[in-house]
Amino acid sequence: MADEPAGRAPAPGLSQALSASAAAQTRHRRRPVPLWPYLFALPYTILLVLFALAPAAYGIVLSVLRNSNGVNTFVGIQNYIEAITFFAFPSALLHVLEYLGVWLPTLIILVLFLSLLLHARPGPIASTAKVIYYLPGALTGSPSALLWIFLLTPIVSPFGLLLHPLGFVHPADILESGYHHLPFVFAIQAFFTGAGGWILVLYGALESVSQEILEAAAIDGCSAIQQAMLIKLPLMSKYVYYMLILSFASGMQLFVEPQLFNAASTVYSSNVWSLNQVALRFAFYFAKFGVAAAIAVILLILGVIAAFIILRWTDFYSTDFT
Amino acid sequence: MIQSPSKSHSAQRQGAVSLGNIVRLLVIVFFVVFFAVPLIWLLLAPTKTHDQLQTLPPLSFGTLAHVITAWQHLTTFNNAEILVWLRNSVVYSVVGDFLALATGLPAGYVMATTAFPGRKLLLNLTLVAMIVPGAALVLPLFLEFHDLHLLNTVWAVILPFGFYPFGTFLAYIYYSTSLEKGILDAARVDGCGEVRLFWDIGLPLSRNIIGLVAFFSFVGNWNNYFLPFVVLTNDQRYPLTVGLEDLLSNSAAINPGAQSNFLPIYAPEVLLAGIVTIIPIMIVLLLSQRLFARGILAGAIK
Amino acid sequence: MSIKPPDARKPKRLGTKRRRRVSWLALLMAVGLVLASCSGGGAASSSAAPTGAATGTTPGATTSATTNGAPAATASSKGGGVTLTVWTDATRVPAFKKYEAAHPNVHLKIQVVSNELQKVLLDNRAGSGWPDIVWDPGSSDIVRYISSPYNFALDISPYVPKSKWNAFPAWSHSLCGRDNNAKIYCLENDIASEVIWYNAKLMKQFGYQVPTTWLQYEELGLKVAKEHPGYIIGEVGDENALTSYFWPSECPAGIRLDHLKVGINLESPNCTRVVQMLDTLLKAGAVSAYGYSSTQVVNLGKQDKILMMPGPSWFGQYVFNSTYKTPPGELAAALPLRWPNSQKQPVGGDLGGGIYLVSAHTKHPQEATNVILWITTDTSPQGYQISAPTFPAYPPAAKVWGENLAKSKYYATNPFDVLNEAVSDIWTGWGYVNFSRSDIYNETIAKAVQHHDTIASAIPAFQQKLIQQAKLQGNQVDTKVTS
Repeated sequence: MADEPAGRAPAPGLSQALSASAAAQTRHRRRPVPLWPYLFALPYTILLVLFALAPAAYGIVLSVLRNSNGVNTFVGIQNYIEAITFFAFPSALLHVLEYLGVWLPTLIILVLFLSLLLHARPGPIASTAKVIYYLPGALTGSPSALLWIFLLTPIVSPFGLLLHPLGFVHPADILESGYHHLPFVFAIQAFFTGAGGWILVLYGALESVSQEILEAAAIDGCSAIQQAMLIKLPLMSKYVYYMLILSFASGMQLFVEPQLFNAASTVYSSNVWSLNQVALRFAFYFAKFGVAAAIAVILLILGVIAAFIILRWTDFYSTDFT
Repeated sequence: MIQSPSKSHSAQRQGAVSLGNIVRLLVIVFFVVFFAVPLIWLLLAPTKTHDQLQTLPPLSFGTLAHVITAWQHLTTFNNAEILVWLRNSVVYSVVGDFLALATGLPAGYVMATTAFPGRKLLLNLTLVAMIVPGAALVLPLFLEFHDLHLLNTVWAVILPFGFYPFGTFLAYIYYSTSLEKGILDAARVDGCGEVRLFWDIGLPLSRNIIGLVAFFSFVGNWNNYFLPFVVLTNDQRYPLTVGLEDLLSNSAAINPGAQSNFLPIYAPEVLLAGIVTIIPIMIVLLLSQRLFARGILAGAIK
Repeated sequence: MSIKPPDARKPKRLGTKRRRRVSWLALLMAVGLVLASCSGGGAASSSAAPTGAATGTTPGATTSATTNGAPAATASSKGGGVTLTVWTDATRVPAFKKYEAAHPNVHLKIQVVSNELQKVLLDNRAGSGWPDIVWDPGSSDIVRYISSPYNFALDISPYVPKSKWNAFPAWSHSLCGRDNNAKIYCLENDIASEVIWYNAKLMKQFGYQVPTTWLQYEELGLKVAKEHPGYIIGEVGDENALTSYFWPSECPAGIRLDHLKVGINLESPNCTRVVQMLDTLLKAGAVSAYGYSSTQVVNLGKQDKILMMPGPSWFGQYVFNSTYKTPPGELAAALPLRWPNSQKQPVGGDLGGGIYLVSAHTKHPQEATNVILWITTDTSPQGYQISAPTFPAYPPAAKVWGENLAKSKYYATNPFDVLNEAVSDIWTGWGYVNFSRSDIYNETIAKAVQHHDTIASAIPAFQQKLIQQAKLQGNQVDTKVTS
C-alpha cells in the first residue's frame, strides 16, 4: 500500500497539475494570436509543403489521370479499378495483412519489453546492448541482400548451428519453401533491421524520467517491475502510439524485404508480393503512374485511418494547455 | 537478512531483483547474440575469398590480405570513384542533418509548448507526410525538381534531406511529455523572450532528443537510395548508396556469372562495401551517444 | 530564422559548463542560416530566368521541349567537336573511354546509370534530360525502348552502313532490326549463344560419346544416372533451362510472333517433348532441380561432378572457371543438339548479351551512331571488342576476339569454332518480348521441381502466367501456334 502514492505520481501527472493553472494564465494574458509560434514553425512548414504535401497532392491528382504521349486525360476511378482488379492485388493485400499480423505485435511488444529491460539498470551493458541492437538496421542495399542470403542458407550461415536442428539444411528449405513462410521471414528481417531504432527512441524517452522519482519509488518499496508498469509505461505511451501509427503504415508499405529476395532470385519471392511492389511495378514496369498513384493513395488512406483511430482513442494531441 | 522468510518489502525486492536480474541479463544477451552474430560475420567476411565464404566456418577469420585485395577491387573502378561517393554522402547527410535540426526542432518545440491556431493541422500534416508512400511521390518530386531546374544538382538531394518529419514529431512528443511548462512560464515572468526560452531552456533540456533526431536523420539521409537515384544522373554527384548499387548490382557476388557485370566484384567486395557504409553510421551513433549521454532534465527541473 | 543570430551571441551568462554545447548549437544554427539563405537563393534564381539550363527549355512550355530538351544539356560544342551524353553500366565504361581516346573531336559525358528504362520514363514526363546513347545490359528491353510510352530508340538505319549491318548475325538482326531490316533500333554488343558444355576428361574416362541429338542426350543421362550416380548433365532450376532446353526445341513458350503479338502454347509437341525428357532425367537424378548458381550445383561443380551442362557461351569463363573451379584442361564445348524428327541442323538459344541504342531525342544521330558502331564493330588493336569480356556479336570482331581465346590454356579443346557456329544456330523465332519469361519460369517450374514435383505438373501454371503477363503488357496472345 505504501508504494501506491509514489507509483501514482509520475512526472507527467505532476506537471499537468502544476501547470494547468499556469497555462490558463498564459492563455488569458495573450488574447491576440502571437506571431512567434508561426515564425518557429515556418522553415519547417516550407519544407513540409515543398517535399511532402505538394508532391502528395499532385500524386492524388495523378491517380485520376491517365497519360498518353504527354497528354493527361481525366479517367475518374478507372485507375483504382485497374489497381484492385490487377491479378496480384488480392494476394498482395493478403500477404501484407499476414505480415502485419506477425510483425506489428512482435515489434511493439519486444521493443517495449527490451527498452524497459535495458533501462531497468542503465549502465555500460545497457548502452552497449542498444548500440548492438541498432547497428544491423544500418545495413542496406546489395550488402544487406547478400548478408541475408548467407544468413538464410544453412550450410554457410552463422546461424547454421541453430538452423540444422530445426530441419533446415538447404537454402531451399527456408528460401524456396514456397511463399507461405515469407511473412515470417520478412517479419524477422524487419524486426532485425527496425527494432533497434525504436529501442533507441524509447530508451531515450525513459532517460528523461526523473531519477529522483524512481529513487523515491524504490524507497517506498516499488519493485523494478512496478516502476516500469506504473511510472515508465505511462510516460512512454505517446511514443508507443507514435510507433504504432508509423509501423502500421510502413508495414502496409512493405517493399524492401520482398524486393530484395526477388532480386536475389525470382524463385525466392515474387516482384508483386506486396502492395507497394505492385505500385512500383505499375509505375516503372507498366509505365502507368496513375495506377501506381492510385495504389499509393489506397495505402495512404489506410495509414491515415489507422492513425486517426489511434489518435482519437488515445487523445494524443492533448497537452497541458489544451 | 535475505535468508529470513520475512515478508518485509526490502527482502522481497532484494530477492526479486537478483533473480530478475539474471533473467534480465539472459534476455539481453540472447538478443545481443541475435543482432551481433550477423554483424560479426559481416566484419569477418572480407577477410575471406568468395569461395572461402562457402567453405570455411561462418565465423572464422581469413587473412587481412584479402581485405586489402577486396578494397583494391572496389577502388579500381573509375579512379576510386567510391571515395567521391563517400564524400558526397558525408556532405549530403551532414548538411541535410543540420537543416533538419534547424527547421524541425523549433517546429516540434512550438507545437508542444504553445497553443496557436493551426497547431493540430500542422501535427496532422506532419503525420500524413510520414505515411505517404514513396510510390506516390517519385514522379511529382521529379517533375517538381525539373520545374525548379534543380535536377542533377546537389540541392535536389540536400533540401529534401533537410525535411525530416519524424524528427519534428519526435521532438514534439518529447517536449510535450518531458518539458515542464512551469519553467517556461516562470522564465516568461522574468521577461525572457520566446527565442531565448527555446535557446536557453528548450534546447538544453532536450540534448537527448536532439542527439536522437540528429542521428536518425543522418542515417535516413545516408541510406536514402531512391531520392538521389531519381534526381541525379551524374555519377560524380552520386551518394554512396546509388554509386554502390551501380557498381555492385548484377555482379558475380549475388549471381555467379551474372550476365552483365564483369568487374572483379564478388561477395567479399560487396560485404566490404557494406562495412564501409555502416562505419560512418557507427561513428555518428557513438558521437551522438557521447554528446547527449544523459538527459539532464532531472537535475534541471529542480 | 532571422531572429536567431542575436541570440547566438548571448549565452555568456550561462557559465563555463555549457560553453561547449552552446558553440555546437551556434554552429548548427549558423549552418542552418546559410542553408536557409542558399535555398532561398536557389528558389529565387529558378523563378527568375535560370542561367545554367537557360538555353534549353522555356519554363512552362514543356510540350515543345521534346525538340530542344536533351540536346540543350549535351550539344555544347568543344573545339568544333560534339558532346554526347552516355548512360552505361560500370563494366562498359572502358568501351566509351576507348572511343574518346581514339576520337579527340568527340567528347562523351559518361554517366553510370542503372535502371535506364525507369529514367527514360521520368524524362519523358519531364520532356527533357535524355541521354544521346544508352547501353542496356538486358537485350530483351529493346521491345520497350521501341514501344509506347518509352518511344526512346532511334531508327539508326540511315546512319549505319549496310555492309556492316549485314555482317551481323541473324539473331542480331531479329533482335535489333524491324520490318525486314528496313529499320534498325540497336546494335548488339555481345552474343550469348547456348552450347553444350562438357567435361572432356570425365567423358573420356567414363567412355561416353558427346551427343548430337536430344534423344542421345536423354540416353546419356539415364546411363550416367545408373553408372555414375551423383553426376549431372544439366539443370532445370532457373532461366537457363528455358533458354537451353525450351528455346532450342522451338517451343512456343511466349515467343514473339510480331510486334506485340505473342505465341503461347505449351501443349505443342515442341514443348511436350522437352517436358517429357526433362522429367525423365529429373526423376533419374541426371539433371539438378536447382539453378546453375545455386549452392547445390556450385558444390557439385567444385567436386567436378558436372559431366555436361547446356549453357551460354560465357559459362566457360564465368561459371565453370570462376565459380565451379573446373580444373584446366577438362572443359570443352559442343554444338547445340537437335530433335531428329523435325530439325536437320543443330538449333540453339541465347542467354544474355547487351545492346547499345541511340536516343530518338538526340541532335547528333550520326555522331551517336558512330560511337556505338565503333564500339561494336571496330577490330583494330585499340578497339573495344577484341578484349571484351564476352563473345562479340559482330563476327569480324569475334574472330579477333577468338585469337585471344586460342591462347588460353584453360579448355581441353579451343571452343571458339563451336561458339562461333552456335551463333548462327540460334532459333530466331523465339524473339524478345516485353515481359519476363524467365521470372515466370522461376516462379512456376523451377519452384515446382525444387518441391519435388514434376515439370509437367507445373506446365498449366506456367502457361496461365505467361498468358496473363503477356496480356497485361498489351500483347495479343495466340495459343494455337505450334512453333
